[in-house]
Amino acid sequence: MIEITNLYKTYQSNEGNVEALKGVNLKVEKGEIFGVIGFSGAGKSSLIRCVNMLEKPTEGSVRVNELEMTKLTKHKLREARKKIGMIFQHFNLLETCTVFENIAVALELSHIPKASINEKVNNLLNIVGLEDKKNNFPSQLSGGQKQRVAIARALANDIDILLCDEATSALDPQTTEAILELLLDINRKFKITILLITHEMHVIKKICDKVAVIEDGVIIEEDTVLNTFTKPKTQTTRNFIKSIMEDELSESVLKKLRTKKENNKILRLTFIGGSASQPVLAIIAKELPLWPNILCGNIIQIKNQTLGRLIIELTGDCQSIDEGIKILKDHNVITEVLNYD
Amino acid sequence: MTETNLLEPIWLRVLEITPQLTKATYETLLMVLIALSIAAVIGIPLGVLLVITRPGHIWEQKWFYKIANLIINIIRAIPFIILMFAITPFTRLIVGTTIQLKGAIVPLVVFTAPFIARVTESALLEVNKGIIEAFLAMGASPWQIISKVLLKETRSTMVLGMTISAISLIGASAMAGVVGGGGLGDLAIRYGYQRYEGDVMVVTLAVLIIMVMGMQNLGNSIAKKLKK
Repeated sequence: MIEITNLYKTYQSNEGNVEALKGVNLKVEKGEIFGVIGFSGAGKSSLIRCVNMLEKPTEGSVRVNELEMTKLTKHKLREARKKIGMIFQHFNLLETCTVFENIAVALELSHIPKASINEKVNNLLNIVGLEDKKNNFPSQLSGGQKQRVAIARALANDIDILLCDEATSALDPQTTEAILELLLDINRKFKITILLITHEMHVIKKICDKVAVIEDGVIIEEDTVLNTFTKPKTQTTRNFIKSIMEDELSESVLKKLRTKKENNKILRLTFIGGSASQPVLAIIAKELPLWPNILCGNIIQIKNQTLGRLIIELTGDCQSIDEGIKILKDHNVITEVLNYD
Repeated sequence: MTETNLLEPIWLRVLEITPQLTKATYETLLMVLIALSIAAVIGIPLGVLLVITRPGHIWEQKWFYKIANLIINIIRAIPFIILMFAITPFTRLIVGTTIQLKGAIVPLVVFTAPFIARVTESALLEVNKGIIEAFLAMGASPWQIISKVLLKETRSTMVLGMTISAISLIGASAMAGVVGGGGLGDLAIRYGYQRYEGDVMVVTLAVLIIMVMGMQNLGNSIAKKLKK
């Protein structure tokens, strides 16, 4: 659906060149929700804007629906853009137009007859749940409602792909949830592929199927969201995960552990889906002379899967601990021994 | 005699000069309307071009922007009274004469069109770049962005800008009276200034004040209606 190959983007300024993207490769499959996460300045904004050529890549190829975007004529590019919707952090609605007009204008751009515009806009208002606001002006709407208008406007031309440029970054947590639900809904109902960029791991875990982590203009990690959460490969990714899932022991707990005399090991256990439903800790405590002690725990929902994570202290003799770890692994619990010395 | 003249109530003198006053008012309005219309036809597109051709905008044309910017600055720097005489060859070329209404219109247009261009430019620059970007992303053509975003979003500001232009035209048209364009300014100068008829001057100024206030109010109310 979207295939980005060896993409470079360099901005020229008086202070010298800034390399925003340095050889990015990315493939987004049809129907997927693909998230790109990165800190500000990592290049994610340049990346998403290169997809619809709002930013012209310095080098490399961007293929959308088998169409090489970098080589299109102006006219062909406009036609291609009509099938790629985009929503923004600051909504970008016409301030002097009503909600209805703001959506209708997208159809006017495609020269659709007035009669069908009316019907279509009403239908779109229904999808985003704003029927009662159609004659309001953007200044009378909340941030979430404005983003709904922007989504309706983006959907107007029966798009295949929706690009979301930090679409929830200006919204409060509750509104963010509602907008993410709406995006998920649109993805399922209309089979629209979504490419989004964000700096919030929460957005990734809530709706994305796949995630790419971008840093300093390079994709440093790319996998399914579940794999990324369970087996992060880079420190940046771990930091992002930490932002929504407490994963490390506090200094005070560590201090206490260090002073202990008993033989123990600190384990990080990760439960996915089914393995979360078995009382594994009870099992090892019952079968072996072991005393598991929970130090820290989290359960989060990743799209439609549950991910549980515990950090435990396992006290007992060395052999029992090793056997205990084996039992945990046999029950499909991802078990890592942490070293806190 | 002189005493009665001095004590003569102002309204009697007003009544006396009513035909001239009406004619002058008509001439002023005509000059302003014609010059404003022509200047708008030139100035608004020029203002749009000044916006869209600047670096980073939807139709970047570096040299056009630089040259247009320079020419407008030069014209805007010249006081109208000097401009009017300086361009007489041009005026003659366009309308065949440098006097009367026709002869006055040309310098008024040359004076006002750059003004309107600047008014348009500053109004259009207020449009949020993000909105333009959103429309580019929707596949809008440059022309669609001009008509559906730039001019549509700023229509209220544009009406206020045109009101300012019309009022500055009233002032300039008074000077155009010197070359025989007629109008209220001409009347005020001829009677009030050159013949020391202070009362005519006062009445003429009163009409000008009413005209300016009327235009400003009209502009304000239209702008208010257009603003959502």
